[in-house]
Amino acid sequence: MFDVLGANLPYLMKGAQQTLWLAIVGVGLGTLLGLVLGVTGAMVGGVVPAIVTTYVFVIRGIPVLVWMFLAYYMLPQLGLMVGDMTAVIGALILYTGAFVTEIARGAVMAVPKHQTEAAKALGMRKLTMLRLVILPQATSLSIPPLLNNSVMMIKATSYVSVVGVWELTYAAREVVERTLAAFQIFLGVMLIYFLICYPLTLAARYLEKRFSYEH
Amino acid sequence: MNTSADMPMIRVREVYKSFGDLKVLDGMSFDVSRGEVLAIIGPSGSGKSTMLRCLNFLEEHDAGEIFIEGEPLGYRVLDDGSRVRESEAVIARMRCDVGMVFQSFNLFPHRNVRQNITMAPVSVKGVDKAEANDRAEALLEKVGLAEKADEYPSRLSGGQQQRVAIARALAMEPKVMLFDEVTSALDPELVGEVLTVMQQLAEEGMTMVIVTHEMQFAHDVSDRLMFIDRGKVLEEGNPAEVLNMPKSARLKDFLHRFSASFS
Ligand SMILES: Nc1ncnc2c1ncn2[C@@H]1O[C@H](COP(=O)(O)OP(=O)(O)OP(=O)(O)O)[C@@H](O)[C@H]1O
Ligand SMILES: [Mg+2]
Repeated sequence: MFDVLGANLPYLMKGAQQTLWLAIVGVGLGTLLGLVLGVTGAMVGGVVPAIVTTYVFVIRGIPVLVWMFLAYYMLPQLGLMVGDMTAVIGALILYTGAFVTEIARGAVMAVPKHQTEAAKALGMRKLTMLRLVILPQATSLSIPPLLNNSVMMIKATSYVSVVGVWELTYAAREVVERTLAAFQIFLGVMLIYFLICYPLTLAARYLEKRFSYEH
Repeated sequence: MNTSADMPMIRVREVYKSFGDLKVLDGMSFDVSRGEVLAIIGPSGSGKSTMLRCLNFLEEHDAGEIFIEGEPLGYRVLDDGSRVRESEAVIARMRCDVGMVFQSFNLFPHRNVRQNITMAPVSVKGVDKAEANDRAEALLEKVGLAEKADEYPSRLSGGQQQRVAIARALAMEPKVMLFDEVTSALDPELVGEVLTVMQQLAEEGMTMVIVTHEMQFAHDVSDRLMFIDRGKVLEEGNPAEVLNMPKSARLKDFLHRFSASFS
């Protein structure tokens, strides 16, 4: 009954590999970018917070699909001859980064002021305070939203197929066009996306435990 | 130049501080000498906490000068009267000498009691970890919590948390300890255990500035008592005299609410 899926599974798995790659590089680097920007935006004074806010506002205000089109069509016009893959990964990084920035900044700001005052009163300087007092507390606050965001962005990697970058969803469409077995193929695709996202849920659960403390 | 021995531990000179239009410190001046225990009382909103927080630069004074052992805190006033803010490093270093205990304890919830106490000595002063642990044990012994070293703050009662907070501040070996209504958030039956620790500290000769509503405690423990109102020192002197023979109507009014005589 699932023979079409079985026959095309190796091809789909190749697509899944590509999806995984997009997720690790795009979502991974985007998360790193967002963590750095978010913490910096919350800790540093001057014009930095305004710049960070503008970045978040501009990126988040436009659908990721549009960013992919923009990266795909605009970059070459600006004389930047980057490959399709690089363009969409860039869009993924920036987009993930914007959401993670907000999560990280929110988590840092959610650490109560009396905690930083206690640290200051003990003679801690900013970086020490960040390392020992703020980040440990912000980390446990930000793990659940970071997980949500990662899952959301992994699903968003499927948009890259629209500008012709090949990955799991693209591969699935090819197979369906060829075999017309839409139901079983997309059922398979669904399972594969689930298998990519589920370990993340487990990891988050573990991390949450690891970084939590009794309240 | 005075030697540090005859210099007051804390010197506050004409300190002003406003929050927007609200003038909170209106020319405060006082000294605290080495080993002295100064109690500060006053109505709510009179600027007690703000004054105390200026003493470790958690709050930055708008004008005037504060000296810790003769060294200007936070700002350096130049000959032409202009002020230069000290670097973060200098401010942090000076804070090491001024311990503070807060009304709401403010322990680090993600670290156990021992780690709360050793964190700053190790990370700020570079104290060896084993040594810091030993000292933490000794301090916990002193505040009567030797068996709680491995607990997390959330597992402790308010009184226990506050005693840990005192131990944490002491671990930096400060020259002065500031206490801001440290028993106000406690259930009445837990107040005593914290006051006992403070009294012991006072007897050991620690220089202390205590903002409190515990009049009897202020009377018993302090060497000098200061009544502040609307950001000004209205009366100060021997605690028994100030409390039992108030001169100003404001202080009489204030003490009336406590309607007790202090002996
Ligand atoms: N960060 C701040 N921003 C604005 N206003 C403030 C700030 N901190 C204190 N104030 C105001 O300054 C005044 C003095 O506050 P402060 O906390 O020093 O009073 P207090 O004498 O400690 O009172 P209490 O006995 O209630 O603790 C109050 O009116 C308070 O609302
Ligand atoms: Mg107060």
